[in-house]
Amino acid sequence: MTAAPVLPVGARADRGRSRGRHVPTADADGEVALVTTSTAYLSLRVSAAVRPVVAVHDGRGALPCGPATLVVDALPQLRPGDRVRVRDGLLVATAPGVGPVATVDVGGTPLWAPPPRPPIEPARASALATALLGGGSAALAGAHQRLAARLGAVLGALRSRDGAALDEAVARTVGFGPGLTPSGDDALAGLLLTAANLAGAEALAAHLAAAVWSRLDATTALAAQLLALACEGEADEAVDDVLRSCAAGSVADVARAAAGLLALGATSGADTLYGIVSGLLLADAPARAVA
Amino acid sequence: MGAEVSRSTTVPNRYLDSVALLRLSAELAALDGISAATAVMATPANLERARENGIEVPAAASPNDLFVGVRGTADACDAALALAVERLSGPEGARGASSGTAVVSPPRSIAQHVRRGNAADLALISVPGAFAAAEAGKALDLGMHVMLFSDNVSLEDEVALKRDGAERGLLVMGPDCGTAIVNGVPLGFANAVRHGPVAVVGASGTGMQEVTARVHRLGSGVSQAIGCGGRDLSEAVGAATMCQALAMLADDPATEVVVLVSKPPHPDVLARVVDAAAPALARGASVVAAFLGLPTGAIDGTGLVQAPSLAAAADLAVALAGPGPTPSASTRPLPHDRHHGRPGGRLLRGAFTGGTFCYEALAQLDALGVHCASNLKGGGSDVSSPEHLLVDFGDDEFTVGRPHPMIDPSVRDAWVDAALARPDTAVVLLDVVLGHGSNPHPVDGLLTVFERHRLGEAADAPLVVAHVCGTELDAPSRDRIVALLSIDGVLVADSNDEAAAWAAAALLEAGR
Repeated sequence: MTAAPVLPVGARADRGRSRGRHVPTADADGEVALVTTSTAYLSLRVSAAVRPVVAVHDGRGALPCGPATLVVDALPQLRPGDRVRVRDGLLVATAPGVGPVATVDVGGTPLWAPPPRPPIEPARASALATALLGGGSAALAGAHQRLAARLGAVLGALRSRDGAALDEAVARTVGFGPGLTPSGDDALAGLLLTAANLAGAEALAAHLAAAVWSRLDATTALAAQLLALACEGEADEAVDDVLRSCAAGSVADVARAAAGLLALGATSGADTLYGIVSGLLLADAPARAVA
Repeated sequence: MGAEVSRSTTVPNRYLDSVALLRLSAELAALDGISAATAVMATPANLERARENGIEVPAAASPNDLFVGVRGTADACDAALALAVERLSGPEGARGASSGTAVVSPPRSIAQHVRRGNAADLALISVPGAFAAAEAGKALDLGMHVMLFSDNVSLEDEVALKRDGAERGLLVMGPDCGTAIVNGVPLGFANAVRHGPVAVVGASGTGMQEVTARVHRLGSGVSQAIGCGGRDLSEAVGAATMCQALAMLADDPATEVVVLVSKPPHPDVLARVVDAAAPALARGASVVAAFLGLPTGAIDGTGLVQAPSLAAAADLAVALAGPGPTPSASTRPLPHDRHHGRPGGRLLRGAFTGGTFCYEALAQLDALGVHCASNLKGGGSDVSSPEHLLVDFGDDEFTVGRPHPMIDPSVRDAWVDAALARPDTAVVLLDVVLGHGSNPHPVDGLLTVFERHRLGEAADAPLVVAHVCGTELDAPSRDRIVALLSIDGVLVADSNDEAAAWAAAALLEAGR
């Protein structure tokens, strides 16, 4: 028996502007979890193991593109609890008692696929950290207040190559702090991505990723996804911009990208930037194995 | 102060964005008698931190639950949690929480709006095309007229909806109906005009805006403006809405003249429209037809008055509706104190936000011997084209994934910038559409472009001719926009027709 089409025959859905590679184009179901002024978060289930949280974003402000982001021209009128189905390239949201309220041709939406990031030279790290810290003092001071002790423990464990201490420090940081993506997770994501991109610190990044991976169940679904993607080197556009500018841009480029990241969320931008700066400070860590 | 206690609650699978969580934490912490408060996701790290701060935590919670905890006096803690529950049940999207506070959310459906006792009898539908026909059908079922702003509605659906509406005595305006003025209320893109004896029925939004705004500027007014949708006068749809509107207006004593606006209809459809106009004519009303591009004399003997342009239709309507001021001639000669375009330049480049303005200008220029390419005729939109070129920036090529240029003219403005920079550009022709629905700062981008090219000062700058569709009642007013453009050296015509004629005159007088 053929399943009923998602849309009436001959109907056309609107295309989005870009989609990340983790935005499903087929066989996903779920619901709208959260709606802000610029973003609707869809909690989807593709399979028992694949449950992406897709951010439908209107493209304004920070974070226009991301690995699990669908950018549209205008945010549909969605509400928490609306049902979401993805079939045959079409995403349809249905409000209880109302019917379909939004449809997007995700299959026809261009894929956002940034090229690989070039490595960050350790010789530049100190100057970059200074440039980043200079751009957002008030916001970064808040992040420092929230995170210094816990992220400091993570950095200390990495520097001393102490595996047990690393696991303990990560456990105290994952899921810690305010926000839908708690501060600790944002900072760890920034730290992970930077370490993985910093020439000579790749091994430390791998150890950190392993420690974070084992704690993904200790935070929100959205933050767990953020961390899982960071473990694989994937980041939203605002973070990607900072890392690219660190690798190949001028100091002015770095400051501009940092300002863009700081505009993200209530605390997420500053917390992520704090993690990136922390990652740059790993440039002088001695290269030996974690015990 | 009594001994401190702690209270907390969790809300399963409840998401709030970070700003809301921080705001709630701060609000609770600021309450009298509260010494510590937190509103965070219930992750192990956050629960541990809360415990360290002396706040009780639940034995079992998921990281996807929302945790609110406070420490302070017993009364203050109870009050703080009650406040938290109230905040969590607010309009940001509560599920399951109840505070006893009535929050009236906007209606989610037309039926819900009607159930709430609202007496509206017209539904303006602007949803993705895939669902628009279904919503229009629901509105008709509820006894409401329909203005269907959405496009991408199938022809079959349009025919069925209009048949259904006609059987119930209800109008279906659209699909792709961008303009209407119903009982003085502007819907979609429309200009602020006074009430008066002229009704406009049209398949073109900007065409209707041009006629209604000019009728107002000539001192008369508008009884109704009824949009039909771009396909209404096709053979398949058979002018269903235009004919129904004519029948309704025949019974409207406030309407003395009806202006019909469209591209030329199919011959069979034209005959149907002529028949539908008979009751209005029999009542003594006049019917003016601005079927742009229809050969002169094509409707002689039908009782309809043929207008060769949108401006002429308004002029004729006001004259027929009299008494009132006698309208001026539609087109004045090109002012002789102005130069005739950039020396050495030879090409006309036109950039329009209104599709009908582009269409009308093409026809007018063609009649005056200036033959132009256009994306409306499949001729592309490349500013480096070696031919005279008029571009409709409301075409799909520019609006897929972007707002219409009447809302965001930046793409058009950039094209004008490029056109002015080209040494072979002699004359630039453009429109500005004001009114309800349009960009409230419609010429800011253009003025920046004009200043960059020193339009008002440089002797070798191209001639820029503009038409501003609007009235002094629009915000911003037409007078203001005309003044701004004039200061920057733009020659502002009184109608789209006149602007095209001036552009043609400038080219022809310079021997281009």
